[in-house]
Amino acid sequence: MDFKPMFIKIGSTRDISAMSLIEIMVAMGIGCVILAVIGSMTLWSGQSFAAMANYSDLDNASRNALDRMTREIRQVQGLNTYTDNSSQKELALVDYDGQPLYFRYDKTEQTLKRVKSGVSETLLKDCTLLNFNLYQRNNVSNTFNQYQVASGTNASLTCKVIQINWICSRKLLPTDLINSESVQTAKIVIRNQ
Amino acid sequence: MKINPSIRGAFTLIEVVISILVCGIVFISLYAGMSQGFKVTQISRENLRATQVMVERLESIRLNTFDQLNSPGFVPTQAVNEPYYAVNSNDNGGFNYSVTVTISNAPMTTSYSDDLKLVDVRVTWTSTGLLRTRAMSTLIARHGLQAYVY
Repeated sequence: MDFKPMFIKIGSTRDISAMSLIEIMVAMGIGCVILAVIGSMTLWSGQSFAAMANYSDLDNASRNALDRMTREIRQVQGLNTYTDNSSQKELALVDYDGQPLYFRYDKTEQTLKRVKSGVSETLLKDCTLLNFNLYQRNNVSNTFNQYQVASGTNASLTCKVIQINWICSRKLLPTDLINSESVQTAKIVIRNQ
Repeated sequence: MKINPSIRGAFTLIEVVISILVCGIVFISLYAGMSQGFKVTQISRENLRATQVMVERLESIRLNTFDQLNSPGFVPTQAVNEPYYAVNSNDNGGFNYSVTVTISNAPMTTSYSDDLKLVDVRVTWTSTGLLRTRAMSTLIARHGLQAYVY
């Protein structure tokens, strides 16, 4: 039995030659460009979609809160007291059924809560800014504003209009990479006052 | 064992150029599609704020008496700017809506048409290089909704 060495014939020597330096550099360049495009696009789209998801979530809560507040404040009997101190802003109303109704903004927790009959509901979270402005019924000439309710005496009797504005915002990262904001404003006229 | 040289052959220049073109078109289309989606969302937010501004105006106007509506200058008819961001916001990146209120005679010829006024609130703003307009209209009657106030 004869044993012969086995040779594999692979075309010509040109076929098995490695890539030249130029080819490698061009290939690396193209690869880097493609990777950079894919990377930046992934990062950008990821951030944008996350910001949109945040906005959608905030806006959903904000519009729900605004709808409820508009409906409920319109039908209250009137304002009882308004409090604004270092920790909270509180709108104490007399509801249509005579029961007290509170809308309480906690500045530390950044939440807006509705409280009635001992039941507390959180209407808003991540609420970074919230203002209540109280107005009387008479319009100021040549403006769309009403006279502001004088603080202290008879505030509850003269308050006819409650203006609310707030901003809910959420950061994508604590380092403030992208900030999603939902802005809401409303001027609500108390119908029964 | 002989390997067919055609299998080992590298891409030709034409193939590389075409593949880069295809990749480019895919990425550009993807980017344009997503950008357009985000732009639509942004315009939707602006529309929502514009609606809130208009509703606020109409709420204020409903507190006027019919005589005040007929009194020239009592309700401002010149354009007034309203910021996108609420008062006291730290965000300065917003823009202003230009709000115009027009009060005119009711568009009808009935016996009671003199007791009606047409109030038109129009909001304009510029977004993505385009001038955008939204409007709301309402009829206010002499003995209508505002009468419950007084």
